[in-house]
Amino acid sequence: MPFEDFAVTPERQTIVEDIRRTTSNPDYTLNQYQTFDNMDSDPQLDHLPATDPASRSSLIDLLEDEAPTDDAERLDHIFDFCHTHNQRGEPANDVNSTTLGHVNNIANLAHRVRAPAGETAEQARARIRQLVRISDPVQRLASQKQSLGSTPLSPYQMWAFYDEENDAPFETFTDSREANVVRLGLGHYDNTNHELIRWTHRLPSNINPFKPTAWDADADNVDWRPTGKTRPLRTDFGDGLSEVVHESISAQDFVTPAGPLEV
Amino acid sequence: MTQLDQLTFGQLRVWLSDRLQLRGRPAATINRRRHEPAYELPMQTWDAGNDAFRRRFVRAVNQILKDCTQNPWHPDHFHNLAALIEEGRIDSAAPILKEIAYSGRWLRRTNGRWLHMLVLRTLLGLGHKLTPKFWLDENRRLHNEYPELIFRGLLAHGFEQAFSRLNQISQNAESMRRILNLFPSLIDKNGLDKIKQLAADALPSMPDNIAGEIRNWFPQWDYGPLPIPDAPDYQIPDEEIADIINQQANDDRGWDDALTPTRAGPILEGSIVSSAA
Repeated sequence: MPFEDFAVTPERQTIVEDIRRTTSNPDYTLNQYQTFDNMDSDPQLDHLPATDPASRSSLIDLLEDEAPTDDAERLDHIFDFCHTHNQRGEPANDVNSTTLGHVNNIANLAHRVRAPAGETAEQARARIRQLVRISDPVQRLASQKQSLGSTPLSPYQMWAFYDEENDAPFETFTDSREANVVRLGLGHYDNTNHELIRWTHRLPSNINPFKPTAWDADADNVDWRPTGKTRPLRTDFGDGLSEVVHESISAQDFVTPAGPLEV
Repeated sequence: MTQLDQLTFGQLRVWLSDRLQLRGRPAATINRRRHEPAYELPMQTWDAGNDAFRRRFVRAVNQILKDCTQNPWHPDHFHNLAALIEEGRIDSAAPILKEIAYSGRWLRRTNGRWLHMLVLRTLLGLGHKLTPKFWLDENRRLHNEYPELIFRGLLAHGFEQAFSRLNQISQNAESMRRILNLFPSLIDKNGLDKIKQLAADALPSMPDNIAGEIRNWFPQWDYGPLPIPDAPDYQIPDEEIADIINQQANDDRGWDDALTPTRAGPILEGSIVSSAA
């Protein structure tokens, strides 16, 4: 059921219009209401009763209760709603033993891995740069596991993808930054200077993968589509690949070591 | 998204506290897809803010830090606050950090040594070198858990202070590995030759297993072997003599008729040691 079906009073209809306006992005010329349309059309959000994943009516209820006074406050509530409903999509249990691919950025990873260490941010970045540039892949993997330890590599959930035709998810990719960012639909890294790396991992038994919903995609992700696959940002960079979300892993879960994406 | 520069002191303090602890609406706009650190946006806003906002911001940060002295946050969250102070260069936080450090008030708490380390790391990051004795004392208080921080503290007083005390602060192979994590940036800043020579000169005073960690680190990371230490009675272990000779043989002639440690030792040990002397 789309948002409109839950807007049974004029007040709730206004709230739906507010959600559409608040999540719009005029810079995304393809469709400035893409985020709203994702939330409105994601088939995973059609399950009733409405709790798992939370239906659109829960978001309207929340905004009705909180009665935000402006769009900034409203947007914060929508983001917060999304985060509290992460990983409520269909369990992707068949992916538990699959090798997953992931792209991350060195600066943010450095902030994370230095949490339990006495180094500066710059020293942590230098350490990671060195770890990803070891030429021998076997030694690189061993060194990364030893140096990065068991610290979760993000405080948030992670997005990952897999190739149903190939156990090596990056097999059909080049090492180019652009090819990886575009094919995986990573609009938040497109046209930025973030220094990126990629790795493959397998999930430990205590972490379960889920098919992402529009709530996982957050209130500002115009590059995502509710198809279960990554959406390339531009044509000629290959097809979309199946994607999942899951809790953060550590370097101990790496299958192949992190390596740099070349600019 | 909330406009930080529009918030009053009290609102800013609550907003920052929630943001850095990943709580509620203030944390809602963090870009989780790119793993954005919680302190990034506040720091950027502080950097770009006008004087009135910057004064309010510093007061809010310092008040949060004071509140923490009695009820410290979880270390993962305090790490966010510490990074904001360190990378934002908020030096007025230093007196509060020093009070926490000198009193050792967090050491007896859950995650106490981790939190205490974060306080010391932030002080050092702000440019407070303290004294070499201070860092050696802190190493004992931290039970040698953060040798890389102690090494940095000593390094602030010069290479000699740091490298001459490697044997005191590196008590096992794992602690040496943590110190070696700093070497890539040391090499970036100071050049490979200098760091290699400093490391080589520190070897004679170190137990074999820890010296081995240093010796192995350089070739492992494609920096080549260390020079022979400038010490008359230093003896390179036979295994490493064999490794060096084999490496040179491979490099020079492309053959791999490996010398074993047993073969290499008696043949080469005397001549290398005497040449070092």
